[in-house]
Amino acid sequence: MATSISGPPTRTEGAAPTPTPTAAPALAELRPMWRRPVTWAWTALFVVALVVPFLISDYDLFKATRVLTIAIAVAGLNLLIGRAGQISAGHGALYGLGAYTAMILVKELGWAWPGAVLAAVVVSGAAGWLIGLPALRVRGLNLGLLTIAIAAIFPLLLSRFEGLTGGTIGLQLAGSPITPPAALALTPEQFQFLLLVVVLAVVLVLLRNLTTGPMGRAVEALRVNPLMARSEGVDVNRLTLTMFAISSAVAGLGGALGGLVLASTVPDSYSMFFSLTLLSACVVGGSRTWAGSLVGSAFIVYLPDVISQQIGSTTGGQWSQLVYAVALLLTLFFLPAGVAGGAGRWLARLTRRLRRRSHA
Amino acid sequence: MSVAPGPIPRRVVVALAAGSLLLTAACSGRADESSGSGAGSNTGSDEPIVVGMSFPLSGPLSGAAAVADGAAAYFERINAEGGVGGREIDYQVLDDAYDPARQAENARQLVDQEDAGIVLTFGGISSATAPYLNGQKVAHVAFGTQAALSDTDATPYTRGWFPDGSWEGQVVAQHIQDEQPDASVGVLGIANDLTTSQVDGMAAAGLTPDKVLTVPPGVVDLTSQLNELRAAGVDTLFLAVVGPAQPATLRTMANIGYQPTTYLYSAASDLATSVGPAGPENATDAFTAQYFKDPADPRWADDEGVQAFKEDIAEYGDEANADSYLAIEGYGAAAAIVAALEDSGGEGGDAFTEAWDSIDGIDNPAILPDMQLSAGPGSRLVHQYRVLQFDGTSWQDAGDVVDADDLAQG
Repeated sequence: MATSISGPPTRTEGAAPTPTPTAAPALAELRPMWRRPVTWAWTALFVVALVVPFLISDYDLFKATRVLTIAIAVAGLNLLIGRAGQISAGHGALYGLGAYTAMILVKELGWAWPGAVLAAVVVSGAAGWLIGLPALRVRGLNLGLLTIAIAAIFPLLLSRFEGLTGGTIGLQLAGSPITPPAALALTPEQFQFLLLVVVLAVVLVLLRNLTTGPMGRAVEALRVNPLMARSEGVDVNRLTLTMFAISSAVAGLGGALGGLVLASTVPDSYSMFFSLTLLSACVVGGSRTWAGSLVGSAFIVYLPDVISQQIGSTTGGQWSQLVYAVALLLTLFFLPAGVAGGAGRWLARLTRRLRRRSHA
Repeated sequence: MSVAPGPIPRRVVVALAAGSLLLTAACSGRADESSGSGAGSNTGSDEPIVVGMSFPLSGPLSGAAAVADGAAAYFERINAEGGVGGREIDYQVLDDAYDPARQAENARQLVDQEDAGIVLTFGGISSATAPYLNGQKVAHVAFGTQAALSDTDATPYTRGWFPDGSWEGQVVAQHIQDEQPDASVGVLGIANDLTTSQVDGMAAAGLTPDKVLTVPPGVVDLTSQLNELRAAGVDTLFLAVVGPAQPATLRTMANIGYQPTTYLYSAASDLATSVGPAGPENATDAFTAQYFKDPADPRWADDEGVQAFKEDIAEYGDEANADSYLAIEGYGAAAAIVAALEDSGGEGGDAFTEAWDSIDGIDNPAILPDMQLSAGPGSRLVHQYRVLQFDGTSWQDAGDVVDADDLAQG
């Protein structure tokens, strides 16, 4: 966890002093957006994602949609942990708050789902702002503990306020309210997946833009050294609160869409364990890469299932859990910057070596 | 800090993301795209009957895997005997780790891809899966005590196994009122709907406990709660904690010399996991309102149903579950499901729920003698109780069979 707060450790590269690595990114950054390979790669991924729903079954889409809703929340966590250097072990509660807000508005007040989702974003954002208040005084592990407490209390509160939340059995709808308009000949699963692809794309673009430019430099300064940031004229308190609010609003967005797609919200869904799972998705994927949010969510959704299918049984005891834990440990051990971060660094080194060879 | 990702790593990262997305799609994209219409579309006469099961095989409640093991053993036995009307039972067990989202996914997989006509789910989170299965008109048997699972108006395809949690509260309250009308009653339970419903049941029987304490599941040392109950003068205790907390609490009570009249929660009174580990001497004279036989109880050594269970679990399941109360619960449920399937001609959906609701007086290997399964309040099949008392080695009858059907009326 410590690495994610202070950013991934800087690797000592090969001893040969090479001017190219530092120069090359700078040059590439100067290129216009549309000429950068990264833009093209994301566009290609987006196009693939638009085609996928017509190739795979509705069940697989339903599962992939869950990956996307979690990826939205993890992207919010990446902003907070990877960029702003804060920590939250309680994002599962904010995800759940978004889900419950949207669900209550749709089920009890008969709102249309887009309005309910927007309201959920606002409510979660406000809650995140409040959680940010103690973060102004408490940092690092203490903040981690504090947010863990929020994660632990949330399901208890849901069970307590039974009149509003339906208690331990939660709230259910007969079916997901997110249905395709009649004009589009899509199944609900296809529509939900495409909707989530678009929402995630928008979220990632917004978060990326937020963390580049002047705002991005202020956030970077906040992460590296708040004292230095203050001396540079950054309003550290305001920025911290803003980061908490945005990150939480994004988590609430993921939760609202997740809850409405599932058409069910239950306290057991948003346990402390889920918050920690989100945190591990953030770290496993790579908290400083936006692609890491996708990789991390896929990791936490698919891996336990795959393992259970291979070795899970009514008699096998805890083996599937043990294998998952080992996979998690090995990933963190060998890829401390996360799967996306680690693979990115490895390939960067490869291309650099190739370029050097072509220069020679 | 020169770690800000440059464009090259990012490009690579993106390629990786694209790869992972395609890979995940490819991994889970099954070849057969046969999305059935749901409700038991496997109508052919010798097609296997697909029974889907979503159980916590991992996670905090993985102990419940024993329930699935017991059910699977019974299905295997039926298959070995030639199946239901010549049709084999093809049961599929998936792990949900007690995560409602995974259970919902499993339900979709079982219905869409495996073409299950009946889906069994475990626990209170079943209420999250019920709307989907009901929308698909797939028969749903939920292993849970929650009142929501017996609401056959809201979810006409969902049937609850186990009695409703509140009935046990009623039976216990009635027994207390008959035996010691002046008792000062305390409840020590877990902080979820189970204890809430038990206390509601006691209130329905006209008994308001003087003290109700709840702890989160997993808290094992309850010394301070016991002291609080003792200080409040509680002389009759309904002890409804679960898992290792139950035997630990019984031991603590012996250690601190607090010996109220004790009623143990039915599902936490078995010899293998509760009374045995507590030390039988520490549970002697305790009561419980019971409906299932404890396979570890020497009283049932010659019982036909328990013997069949032990043979089947040894042959088809995990022999380590031969003394498991959870496993016999699953075994009994499977027997009830097979009985309903025989009546429905192996069909799920409407035919199955109709067959389930028309069950009226059949024997079951898991329930206590002098009881039978019949569709009762909330379409639950188990609604009879008998208060038992522990004599140091075995649970003996301490009252007559009480039916929740009668309690509901008066």
